[in-house]
Amino acid sequence: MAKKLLKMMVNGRAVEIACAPNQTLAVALRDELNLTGTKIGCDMGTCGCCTVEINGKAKLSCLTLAHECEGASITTIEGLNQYQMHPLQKAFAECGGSQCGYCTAGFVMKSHALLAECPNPTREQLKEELAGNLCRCTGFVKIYEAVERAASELREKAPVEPAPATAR
Amino acid sequence: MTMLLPQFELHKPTSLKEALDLARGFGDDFDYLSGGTDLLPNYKCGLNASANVISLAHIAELKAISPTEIGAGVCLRDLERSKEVPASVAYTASQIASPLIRESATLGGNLMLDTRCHFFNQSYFWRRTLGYCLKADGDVCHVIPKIMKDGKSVTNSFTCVATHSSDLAPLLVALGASCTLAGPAGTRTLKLSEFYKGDGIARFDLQRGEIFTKVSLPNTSGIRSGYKKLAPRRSIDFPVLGVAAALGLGKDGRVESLRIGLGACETIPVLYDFSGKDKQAERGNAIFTEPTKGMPEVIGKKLDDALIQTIADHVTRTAQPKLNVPMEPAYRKKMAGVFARRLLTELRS
Repeated sequence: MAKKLLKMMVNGRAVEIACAPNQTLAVALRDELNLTGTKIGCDMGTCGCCTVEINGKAKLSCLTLAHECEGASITTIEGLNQYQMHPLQKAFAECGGSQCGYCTAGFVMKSHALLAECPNPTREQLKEELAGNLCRCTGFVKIYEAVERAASELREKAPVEPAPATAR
Repeated sequence: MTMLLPQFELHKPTSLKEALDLARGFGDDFDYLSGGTDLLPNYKCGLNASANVISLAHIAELKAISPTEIGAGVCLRDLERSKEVPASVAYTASQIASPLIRESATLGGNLMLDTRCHFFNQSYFWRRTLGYCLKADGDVCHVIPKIMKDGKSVTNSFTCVATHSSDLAPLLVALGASCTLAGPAGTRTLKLSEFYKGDGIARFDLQRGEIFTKVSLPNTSGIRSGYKKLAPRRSIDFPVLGVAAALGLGKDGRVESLRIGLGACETIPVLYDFSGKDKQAERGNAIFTEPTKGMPEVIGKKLDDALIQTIADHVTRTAQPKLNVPMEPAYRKKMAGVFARRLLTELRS
C-alpha cells in the first residue's frame, strides 16, 4: 500500500502529491494540498459537500480515489476566486444562500459546472440538478435565488445563446 | 466525518485483456471498480472489502454507446442524455440517485449493484452490536431469521434476502435485454433475466474474474416501455419499489406482448413475461417469487381497464417485498399493482 506520486492539475497549477491507493480525492485535497475549502460531510456520497470539478464535471470527491484522478484537471472552491470573488460566491453571500457554510462549497462547485453547460437554467432544472447537495440551514430557496442571480450576471458578462431546453 | 477506507492495492488496466490477466493472479481476493459510488461506501463500512481493486474506468472498450448496445462503462449521466437509446432507458437513468452520483456511476455498476439491506448497509460498529448478518461476517439472517425447509421451520443461515435496488435492471429485463460477459475463457452472452440469481450474496451468474462488458437491446421498435419508481425522497434515494413495463400493442388495441419487470422487491429484478417465453421462475433461482403462478391470459386480448386491473392485481398478489429497505412491505406490495396499473394506462394511450 505504498504511497505513489501523482501528477494532476489543481486549480490551474500542476501539482505532485503522494497518495496511498485507498485515499479519496477529498482527503488528498485537504490533507496533502491544504485545500480545506472542500468539505467532507457524510463521506458516503449522499450530501454533496465534497463536490469538486474533475475535468469539468462536478463529481463527489469523497467517492473518487485520488489515484483515479492521475493526470486529471481539478477545480476546487479555491480555484474560483483567483483575485476577486466569483459571481456565484458573491451571489451566495448577497442572497443569504449560505448560513453555516458547510455545504456551500459543494453547492457553488455544482452550480459552477451546471452554469458552464446551461447558462440559463429554469427553477425546475435547478432543483433537479442540485438534488444531490443537501443544505440543512437555508431551505434551498435562497440558494436557488443565488444561483439564478449569478447566472444572470454571468450571462451579462459573456452573452451567449440561450441553451435549448433539455429533454426533461 | 471522514470514514477510513480499508487498505487495498489499486490497479488501473487499460484493456479488458489486461484486467482479466490481473484478476487471474488475485484468485478471489479482488473487486472490480468502475464508478465507485456503490463499492466505496461499502468499503467504508468495512463490508466485504478485498485486498486488490481493479479499476475498469480506463478501459475505452467499455464506454461505447449505440442504439442497440450500451457499454457497461457508460456513465449514467451520458445515458440519461443520450438520444440514441430508447427514451425509457434514458428516463430511467435520470431517476437514479442524484446528478452528482450519476456523473460517476456507470450502467454496469447499476445493474450489478450490491444488494441492500437494513442489517447490511451499516457501519462496522452498528453491525457488531447486533452480531453481524449472513451477508457480511455473520451466520444468521435478521430479516427472515426462521425459514421453512423441508416442511420444518429452521434457523435461516443459508438464504440472504437482501434487495436488489437497481432502477435500470427491471426495465432492461422487461425490454428483453441480454448482457455480454468477458472472462478468461472467452466471452459469453446471456439474457439479463438469467444473469440474476435469487441469492443476496451470490447475486449473479458470474464466473470468477468475469467482467460485465455490455448490454444488448433487442429491436424495440413498436414496443412501448416505461418505468415508475417509488423512493422516500425523489432526489437521491435507492428505489424501494420499481415497476417497468414493455408493451407491444396491435393496431386494434390488442396485446401482442407484455413484459413487466419488478425491482427492489427481491434479490433479483422479477420478470413477469405474459407471453410465457421467458420463464424466469421455472429456473428455480428465485427464492419466494412465483410470478407465473396464476398468471392471467392477456395475449391477444384488448387492453381495457378491466384487463389492466387484472394484471395489476396479479402483480400485487405475487410481489414479495421484504422488510429490509425503507417503507413497509405491505405498502410497497400494494403500490406494485398501483404502479403497474398507472404505467399500463399511460402506455396504452
